[in-house]
Amino acid sequence: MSITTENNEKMITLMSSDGEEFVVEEAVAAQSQTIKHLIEDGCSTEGSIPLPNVTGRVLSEVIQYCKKHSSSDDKEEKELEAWDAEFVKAADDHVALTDLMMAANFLDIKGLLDLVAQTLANMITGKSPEEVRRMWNIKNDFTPEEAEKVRKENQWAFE
Amino acid sequence: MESKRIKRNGAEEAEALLFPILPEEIIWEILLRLPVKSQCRFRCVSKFWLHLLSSTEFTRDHIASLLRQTTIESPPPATQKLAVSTNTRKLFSFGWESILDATTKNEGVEYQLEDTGPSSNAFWENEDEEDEDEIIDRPIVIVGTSNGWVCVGRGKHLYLIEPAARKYHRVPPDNHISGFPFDLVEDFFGFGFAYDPASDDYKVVRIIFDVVAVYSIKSGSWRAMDYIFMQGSYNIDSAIKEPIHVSLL
Repeated sequence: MSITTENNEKMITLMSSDGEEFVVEEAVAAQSQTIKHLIEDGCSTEGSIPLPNVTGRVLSEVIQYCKKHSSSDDKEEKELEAWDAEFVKAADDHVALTDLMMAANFLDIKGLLDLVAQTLANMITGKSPEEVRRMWNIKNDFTPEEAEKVRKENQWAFE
Repeated sequence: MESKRIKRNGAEEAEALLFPILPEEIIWEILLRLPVKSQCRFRCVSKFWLHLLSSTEFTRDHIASLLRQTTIESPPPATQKLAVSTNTRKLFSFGWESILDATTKNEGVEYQLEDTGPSSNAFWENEDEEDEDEIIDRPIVIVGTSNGWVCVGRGKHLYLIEPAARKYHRVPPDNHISGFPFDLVEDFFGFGFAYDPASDDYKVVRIIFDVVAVYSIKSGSWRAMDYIFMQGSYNIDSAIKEPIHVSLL
């Protein structure tokens, strides 16, 4: 659905995978390259844009980020950095951050992807392989011999 | 104890449902942003992580992302220096700052040369040298580096090594071009190594007297260049050789 506000800002409606609708300014939504292309292809003229990969909870966070980043200009870079830091802190656990990163990847929002990827990278930098496996439920598929070999080759990285 | 374990298993199952698959591009983006030491440690996570972290594409993307991050505040990777130890046969990378300023933590990387796989003891031990006395004096030298590749040599042996991907490539002698085999101790300053973007190829250049020979990793052979130089010895600087010598070839 395409409506226009009093200050002539075009609004579009986004629909999450769980059916939640969000009405946002086009300039905000267009921070997502994926949505921008959908708008260009005329998908926003008939009803809402469905985003089957993003839940309402995650989408509201993404929109929060896009709103902040579309309203700020370069002069406020420092303030924006502080805002970003608070934003990822609020998401705090790696599960929420991973959801957010998958959404940023699907929606193609480079700034958000960089921000969340760096936050997750910082989170695991000092961790052991075992801890990383637990975080994302990754199966250790090495045989004991293979595990020993790869561990030996990278021994310095454990010291 | 028993009930506790069951509980934890239940929680793990719930987590598994929460996290069906971590897509490859997500893992890739996170791994790219890690320090090299963590990247190496996480090769032990799973076969798939090992595969990603050992790929040539990963090294290339990682170097590209490091170059993009370069600003006045964060020094460029050019301040990362590479050293080689002949005794221990290890490559070391370290930040220049960590040497100049003792308070800076050295986030360096070390790499055992044999790990790459040139299993020929001849290279590392120089067993095939005719004169045993000379062996001891042969240092392992770094000819050059480019995009994660390192060109190292010892005596008559020359290897292109890609430590992150654990790959290596042996450079054969160029006897038929220059008439006599190279010797890195004597000819070192006439050697250069660089990436040639025009042909997407890595090349070793050897200038000895008035003969210029170029080795291409793609063709796997040396080629004589019709290039007139003044007689003398040459010192190929890695910063200038790329545009001047290699791209023209």
